[in-house]
Parts: sequence; C-alpha cells; structure tokens
Amino acid sequence: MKTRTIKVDQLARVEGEGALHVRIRNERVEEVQLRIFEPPRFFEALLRGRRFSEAPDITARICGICPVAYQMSAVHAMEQILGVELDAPLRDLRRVLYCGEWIESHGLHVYMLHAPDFLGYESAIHMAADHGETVRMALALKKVGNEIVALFGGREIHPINVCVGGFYRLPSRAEVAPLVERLRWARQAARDTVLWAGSLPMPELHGDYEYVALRHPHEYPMNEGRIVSSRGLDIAADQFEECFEEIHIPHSNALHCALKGRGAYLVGPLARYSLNFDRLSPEIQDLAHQAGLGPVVTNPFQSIIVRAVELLHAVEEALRILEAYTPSAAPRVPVTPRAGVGRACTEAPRGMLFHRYQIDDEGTIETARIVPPTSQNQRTIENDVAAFVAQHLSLPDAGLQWHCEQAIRNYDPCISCATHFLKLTVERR
Amino acid sequence: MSGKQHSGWGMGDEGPGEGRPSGPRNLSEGASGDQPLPHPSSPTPHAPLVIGVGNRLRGDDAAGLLVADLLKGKLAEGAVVTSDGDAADLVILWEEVDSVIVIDAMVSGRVPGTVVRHDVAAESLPVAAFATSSHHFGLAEALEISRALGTLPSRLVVYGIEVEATSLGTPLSPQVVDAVHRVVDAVAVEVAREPAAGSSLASRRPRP
Repeated sequence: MKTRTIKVDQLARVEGEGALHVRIRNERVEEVQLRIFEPPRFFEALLRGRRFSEAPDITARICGICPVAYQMSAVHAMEQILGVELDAPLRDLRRVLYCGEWIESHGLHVYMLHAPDFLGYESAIHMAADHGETVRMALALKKVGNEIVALFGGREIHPINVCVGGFYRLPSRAEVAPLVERLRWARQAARDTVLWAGSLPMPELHGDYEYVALRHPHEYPMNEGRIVSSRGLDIAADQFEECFEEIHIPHSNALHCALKGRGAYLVGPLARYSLNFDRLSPEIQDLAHQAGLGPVVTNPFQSIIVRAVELLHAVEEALRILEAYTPSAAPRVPVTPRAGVGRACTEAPRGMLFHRYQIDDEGTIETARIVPPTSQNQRTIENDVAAFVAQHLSLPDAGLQWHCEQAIRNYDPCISCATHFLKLTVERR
Repeated sequence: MSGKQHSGWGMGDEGPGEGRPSGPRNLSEGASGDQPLPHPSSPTPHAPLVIGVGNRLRGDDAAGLLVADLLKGKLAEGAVVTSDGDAADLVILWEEVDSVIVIDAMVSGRVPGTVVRHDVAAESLPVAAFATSSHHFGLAEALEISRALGTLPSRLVVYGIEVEATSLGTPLSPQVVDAVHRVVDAVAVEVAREPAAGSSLASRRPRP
C-alpha cells in the first residue's frame, strides 16, 4: 500500500483563497478536492431589502475582475421584471462595456497568469526579463480594456455608470475618439496574440465535457441568448433553475453546480467557442485555424488560445460599435417598479453567470440568487485534475503539482466570486 | 534628457522590430500594426511625477489618493496623478519619466500611521506589504516588471503609509490622516529639492 498526497496549500495566480488536495493510493487517483476556503460573502442576503436600482452597484462589488458581468446579469433580470426594452444603441454600448471587461480579463489571464505556465516561468515578473516586449504589449492591451470600462463604467474598478434602463451618463464623441485609436492598435496586437498563443507548447488532455453557454441568433454571446449545451440542452435563460442545481460540498465554501440528472458540465471560453464558432467573423475563424484550433476544442490547455480568440473578438466588436458612435439623445429609458421575478444569464469572461431577483411593487428586493461561473466549473476542474494526474503518475511530485496548478488555471477560476452562502448550524446542549 | 528609449507600443513608430532583439515568441515584429498606440508626449526630464495610489472605497487605502489631492494645489498642474494601482496603468504611466514619487497604503505590521520611505531604485519593495490580491498585479509587481523591462525610472521613491482598517465604506483612521499630512509636507519638500521641479508635466497626456 503506497499513498502519495499532492497538496497545494495556497493556489497562486488564481483569484481568491483556494487549495488543492490530491490523494493517490497504489498508483490510482483516489480523490481530488479543490478546496475553497475564501470566506462566505453573503451578497444574496445583503441584497434583500435594498432597492431594485441598487442591484447593479452592489453586485459590481462582488468581483474586482468581472464587475461588469455582475452588473449586466443584474440589470437584465431587473429589466425583465419591469418590462423594459433598450433601444439598439444603448444595447450596443452595454456590449462595448462588456467587451472592455473581456479585454481586461482575458488580456490579464492569457499573458500574466497563464502564459508563465506554458513557458516555464514562476510568474509574469520572471517572464518579463526574457519576453519584455510581450509583457509590455500585454499590459498595454489590458489598459485598453481598463479605459473602456473607465469611460463607459464611470471608473476602472467596480463601475457605477450602469443603471436599470441604460446608463447614467453617455460619453461624448470627443471622449470616445482616443479610445477608437487605441482599439485600432489593439486589433493588431490581439491578432498577434492569437498566433502567439497557438505557438505555445501544449500539454495533451482531452475532456469529454458537456459544454454549456449562451447562444444568440446572430452574435457571439455576451449579454443574451438561449442556454444551449453540446448534448442537446436548449432552454430559455429564465429556465436555468429548472435544469441546474447547486449542491453544498463539505470541502468547499462554494456550492457545486450540476445539470439535474446529468452531472458536471463546463462553462467559459471553451464552451462558448465550441458552441458558437459559427458566430465569429470569417477572419477570426481563419485565424483560429491558423493557431491550431478546430471549430470544437476539447483540450482545456488550449483555453489560452480560445481566450486570445475571444480577446480579438471583443476588440473588434468594441471597435465596430465605437467607430460609428454617436451618443443617444437619452442615456436611459424611464423605469417604474412593479412586483415580479426576473432571471437573466450573461457571459462573464469565465462563463455563464445567472441572477434571479424577486422584487415587490415598491421595487424592494425580496430575494436574490447568484450562480457564478467558477462554482459551476468546480466539479469539472476536479475531474480534469484527476484525469491529468492519472495520465502522469510517473512524474515526481513537484512536476505533478506544477501541472495540476496549470490545469486549474485553464479555468481562470475566480474563487472570491464563487464563494457562497455557508450553512451554519449551532448545536447547544 | 531621458535616458530611456521609448520602444513603442505598436512599434509602428520605429518599424517592425527594428533595433530590438526579437525572439521567436517575441511579439515585437507581428505587432507592427498600422496604428501605433498613442503614448504620452515627451516628458521633460527631472520633474518628479507624483502618483497617489489607492481605493477611496476602502477606508485607509485612500491615503495615497488623499496625499495626491492635497498636493494638487501645491505642485504644478499635471505633476500629480492618481491611480488605482493596476500594474498596467503604473508601468505605462512612469515608463518615460526619470523621477517618480509614489504614495500608497501598506500592511507591514507596523503601528498604523507609520510612514516608511523606500528608495526603490536601490532595492525592491517588500512585496507582501503592498500586495492586495493573488490575481491583481499592483504596485510591487509593477516595479518588478518595469525593472525586468528596463523601464524603471532612475529615481523612484515609494512612501508607504501603514493602514489600520481597509474595510469597505469605513472612514480614515485618525493616525492615517495625520500621516497623510506628514507625507504631503515631506513630498512637497522632496519635489522642491529637484531641479526644474514640477515645471513641466502639463504636457502629459491627460488621464481618461
């Protein structure tokens, strides 16, 4: 009987406090646990009793990396309750803001968090000494994303300019002009990023995942669409709760998600891309092929290339909309509270993000439910690590640990977002 | 004159890869798009750029921003800027500047309100004291990335102000407010000692 234990007590280059525990007995993987000990956040509880109009600003505080995603799912759910429809220009600007977040998040992850794994560096700082121009370009790309979020979101971190019904203020054409110039630079930088990511040495691992993502009739999904899966699921976004369930697992402060009756599934770039390849422009599809991707990607390590493809898409989409930008006469449509339940899914950089709110006829929030992408992926991350370790048992512990961390970073997990309500029972005698 | 050569973001200003080493994974060649990324116009040497770093929503973490606010009335226009501390912002902000003074909150275990002056050109910043998140590249990372890139300003001083509380929505603690005023005075003196102090940064690109 021989037992090996691989422990990573503090995962680096992921957001939040998490650990990994792998137990191998007699050369078989016995258990893999992604332990999330980031403390519970109680956001759903603190939304209760607040005004419907506060939800986008409160939920934007959940995450410093993807606040726009939280704002978007929140306003869409509220607008569903209030029966509000945005006109095309306002809808486009929401998309621009979301593109800004995708550029920031994917730019950071591709180069600064994930690439060091592929190139054998401990961190992006170590990588900068040998790949200076690459790191400079990465920072400049990320900054373009920051600038979009700052201009349309009102500030870089935890933006405050999105409201139920539209925006509080729209920037002038003069404010947008320098951003258009920088996006033109970013387009070429993002094209180069796709090919560069395609040139990285790529570990082999193929997952048999059920991919889940939004799908829109014309667009690569971001703000809206039906929920579809690679195994035939096709439901409206507001049917999420009928088909998905959350389960509390003892080793994690995040809830695990599962498709009812089917089990683990995967959200995020791999799923979005594989279910929506035909929604990318022909030029981007061609570049993806040049970078070694087919229309469906099953190697999770190739997520770095897929993120680069999505980064390019976000740059082109923001550029397309902003080149034709003229501020609308009204930055928002008027809203009047009424009682109801609203549900919305949007595509955060890390995957589908579900919100549900119930408000009363005064507009006070009675209940809120938030299902972030990392908790949806947690079970698949554990399955992936188990599969990868099973294939590489001959590696020494240090090498195995390196690859396990790299496998986790394939999902760019945002642990603070995933940390959820923790049930507390006090027994008194 | 600035000793640092700006090697271009889009590289279009110099032509693809010209005059720079370019390895197989070096993006400098491919990125020679038709549109170079606009960058700050030529800085004037010697004028220190003062950067206040922090988050106004998080109690004492606003200290660096408050120092910047108070210095804006005392120093030349454009000589004082604020930042949320994102490494992408900082690395680009100071890459063409010879002399920089940064003010940021720190958590080093000292008595709240303690001010520590680090000369970063001489030694690395203690990363742990200025780290904020495992997923965020902040001041300490920005310094080390700039050092690796060879774009660290030749003179870079960081004033760290030890914080007491950085919870969301809390007011500044009194010791930290005292420290803010002490740092304002110290930075004003330090800037006044520099030749051509504060004369010139008005030509910098305005921040969005």
